[in-house]
Order: sequence, then structure tokens, then C-alpha cells
Amino acid sequence: MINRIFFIAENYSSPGDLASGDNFYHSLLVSPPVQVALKNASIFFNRSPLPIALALKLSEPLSEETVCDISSFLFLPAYLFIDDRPVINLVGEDASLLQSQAISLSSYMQSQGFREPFIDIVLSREIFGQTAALVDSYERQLRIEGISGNSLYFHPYNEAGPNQYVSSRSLLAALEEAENGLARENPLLYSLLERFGSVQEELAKERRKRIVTERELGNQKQYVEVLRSNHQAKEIQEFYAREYDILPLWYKRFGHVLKVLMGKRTFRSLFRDDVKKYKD
Amino acid sequence: MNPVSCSIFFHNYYGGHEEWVRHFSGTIRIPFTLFYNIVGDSVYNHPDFTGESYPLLADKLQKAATGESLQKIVLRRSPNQGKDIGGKLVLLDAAIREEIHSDYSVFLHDKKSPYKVQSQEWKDKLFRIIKPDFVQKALAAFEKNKETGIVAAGDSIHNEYDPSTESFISNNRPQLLKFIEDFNIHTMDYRYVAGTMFWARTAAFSGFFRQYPPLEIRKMLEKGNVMDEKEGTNSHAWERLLCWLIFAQGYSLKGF
Repeated sequence: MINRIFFIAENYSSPGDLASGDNFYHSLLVSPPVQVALKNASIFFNRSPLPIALALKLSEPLSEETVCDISSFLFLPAYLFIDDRPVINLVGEDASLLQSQAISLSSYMQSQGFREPFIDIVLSREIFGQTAALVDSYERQLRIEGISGNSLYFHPYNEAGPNQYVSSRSLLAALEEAENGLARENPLLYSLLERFGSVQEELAKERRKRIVTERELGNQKQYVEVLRSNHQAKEIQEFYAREYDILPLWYKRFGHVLKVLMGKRTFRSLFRDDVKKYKD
Repeated sequence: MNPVSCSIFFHNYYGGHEEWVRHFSGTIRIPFTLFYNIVGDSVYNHPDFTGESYPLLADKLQKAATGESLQKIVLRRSPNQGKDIGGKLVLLDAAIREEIHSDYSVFLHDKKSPYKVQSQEWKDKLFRIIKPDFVQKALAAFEKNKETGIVAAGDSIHNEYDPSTESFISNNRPQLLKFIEDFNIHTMDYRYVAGTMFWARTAAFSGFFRQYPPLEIRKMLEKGNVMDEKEGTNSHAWERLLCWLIFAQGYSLKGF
């Protein structure tokens, strides 16, 4: 997909239910009581073959303990990161509550070493439940905004009832058909949007690699500085110079012969450099 | 000897995951759960360099295992914070949340210490604690004396306390004094295992981490490449405290 879509569900009957596509993401909806729901959520995360985020439905502030519990999900291998930043959807009716909880979560997560998370504040009314309505909105977004910074959200049971479940695969197929429609109608625009999105992603990837590489170079530079400073390596070098290097050549050669007699060194290495010198 | 359960807590910065799993499953001959933490933002592990898909990695590593001793792999991924101590705290948090209990725990990491001249020798010394002969000695030591809380390679046991100056030796003194009070870790035994690789009786530290959640401690640790060559750090202080909190419960240390 050109723009981001989040498929939000309380459960997936099996990990194989997760449709895979560029910019098409899955969130596991966790409703109050949050702490209890998180225990069940972790079971799904351990089985998920695709990255997945948490969508937290909030109607009251989170306790410190729950903030810690939520943050522990970020260490799971299947947790969704975009551009090396963890992603969380906060869902509810009260925008100011969601905003305050976003600050609290972000602060804790950064204290654990994560980069500032993408925390999407999603009011319940902004979540689509009907495929046609989402597709319509997505098409408008593509035509008017092109590449948009705003994600769209779909919850299979929002507005519709339990009998109208939409799988992530069928939703993705409908969205892809919408993009194909744009490609047919306006091939130049579609091609430019696709190319721009792909260049943005390449640029983001190179930026991430540069940051990681620079960090490692900094580490290596630190190590070299320590080794060169008044430290073990220097102490060992000085010890070698004092205790061995200053001895006369004839004394060192006598030592080589002694090593051969003791079985520590090979006889041939007294005369040649291209043979094994020391016995293991 | 009665059947025992064991958890290995292994923190990885330098990659080579399948090799490590093969090494552990090929070397350790008692049933164990492997808690494996990957530093996701190291150049050796970052997906932009490795092309690895993290959600699929646990299954891939399970398939790499040889023999029957490896029971389960619990995988985690973390930013580089608190060095190996930070990683081991993530894994302790995982063990608590997954409710996996074991009689004994082994703490390990893929140590390199490139700024130390004898880096490889030190690493070899520390890793001998999972060789079969050492494992048997460790289990026998725990079985023989119920007060043994830690078993480690003898030549990696250092003492932080200098009786001649009546104070701590390293640069980490201020951090140690603060955390001793904050966490009520009172012991007269100031030995520790340099390199933080040792066997521990799980009951000796599990109570502490129920009271003080591992992630709460991890919050205090430094980000990135932490060294205490010039100044003390919280991370290096916890290298000592991980042993001291066990001694504070009345347990002792045995070296081989």
C-alpha cells in the first residue's frame, strides 16, 4: 500500500489470518481491564509470524504497573517497529485522556532505551468498520493528499456486527484493487506516488544504517583510545621491553634452544620462519 | 542426583544466533530453557544489515538446536541499554512474565571486551562454566550445600572491597553505595563474578526481582557503550550487585 492502514482486531483465530503487505499493519486490540487482557495478548504475540502492534482501548488513566506491563511488549520479537520506532495505537472517546497516556507511555518506553514511539491517538469514531467506507476514504486520500502522513484504521466489528466479519486478507485485497483502479485511471500519478514512497523508504533505511554504523564506529574508537592509553596494553608492552627486549641476542638464542629441549618449541623453527614454531 | 531444571539467560550483541544455539544445545547435557536476548540496534543484529525477520527467528533457532536438552527458546529483543546487565534484566522480566520456573539459572553473554588485551582468554575462562565437567561440579555443589547461591569460574571471582582502605576499589563506589541503600542489599561479602557469567540458585534471587521488577532497575542503566575506565556507572555497579543481592539473602559463592 502507498499509505498506512491498521487492521485492528481483538483476536485472530490463527496467526495465519494475518495478511501481509507493505504499509498494511496489524494491531491487537486490548480492552479494559487492560492488565488481564495483556496476559492473553502476549500469548498471541509469541505465535505471530508478522510484526504486530498493541491497540489499547482506554477509558481511564493507566497505572504505573500497567505502563510497565505494556512496555514489556516492546521486547517481544514480533512487536511492530516502523523506522526503528515502536508503534502503539491508543483508542477511545476522550482525546485528552489518550494524549496524557501517550505522554506517560512514551516517557517510560524511552527510559527503556527505545526511540520515541509512534503513538497514534485514534478516536473510536475515526475507525472504519465497513470495507466500502474505508476503501472510499483511502481513494480520496490518495487523490487529494497523495502520500499521506495520516494512517487509516479498520476494526472488523466497528459499526458492523459480529456477522459481518471482514478478514484482513479481504480488506487488503479491496484496498489493492482501489490502488489498481487509480493505476488504471491515472497511471502517471500512481507511478509517481509509488516511486516516491519507495524512495522515501530507501532513504529511511540508509539513514537507519548510517546511525547504527556511526554508533559502532564510535564504540570502536573508544576501544582503541582505551588500548592506547595508559592501560593494560601499554603496561604489557613496557613489561616486555624491560624484562625481555633489553636482553642480549646470545641470551635470547640460548632461551630458544632451551625451549626446544623442554619440548615447547619445534627444532626446525630455530632455522626457518615458515614452519610451526610452538607446540600446542 | 534428582532431575533438575535449568534456565540459561544469554544476552547477544554480536550476532551468530544459530551458532550460539548449536553451541548451547550441543554442550549442555541437562534439560534447559534458553532465554535469549538480542540487541536489536547493534550493527551485528539490526534487520537492515542482517535481513532477518524477528517474528520468525525463534522457530528458526529452535530448528538449529541439536540434541534433546534444549526444551524451549524464549526470545527477546532490546535496545542497547545497560550492556549485558540490561539484557539479562529483560530476560529475567521474560521469565517472570512467562512464569517459567527453574531450579538453577546461568547468566551468560557473548563477551568480547575489545578494549581488553586478553579479551579471548577471559571469554574462554568464563564460558567453561557450561562445559559438562563444570556443570556437574556446579550441580553437586548446589546439592551438597543448600547455602550455595552462586557457582562460578574461580579465576573470575574478584573482591570489590579493599580492607586496607576500607572502601570499594572500583570507580563505581558512589553508585554502589546509593543502590545498597535504595535496594536494601546488605552483605559483608563483597566478592563478585567479573564478567557476570555464573550459575545461581534461582530461589536466591527470584524474591528480590518480585519486589523490584527487573525493568524498573533497567530504567536506571546507561544507554549505549558503557565503560567504567574513567568514571563509575550504574551498569557496572549492578554487575556487582547481582551477586551481592544473593549474598544478602544468606547465600554464598563457590568457585571452581
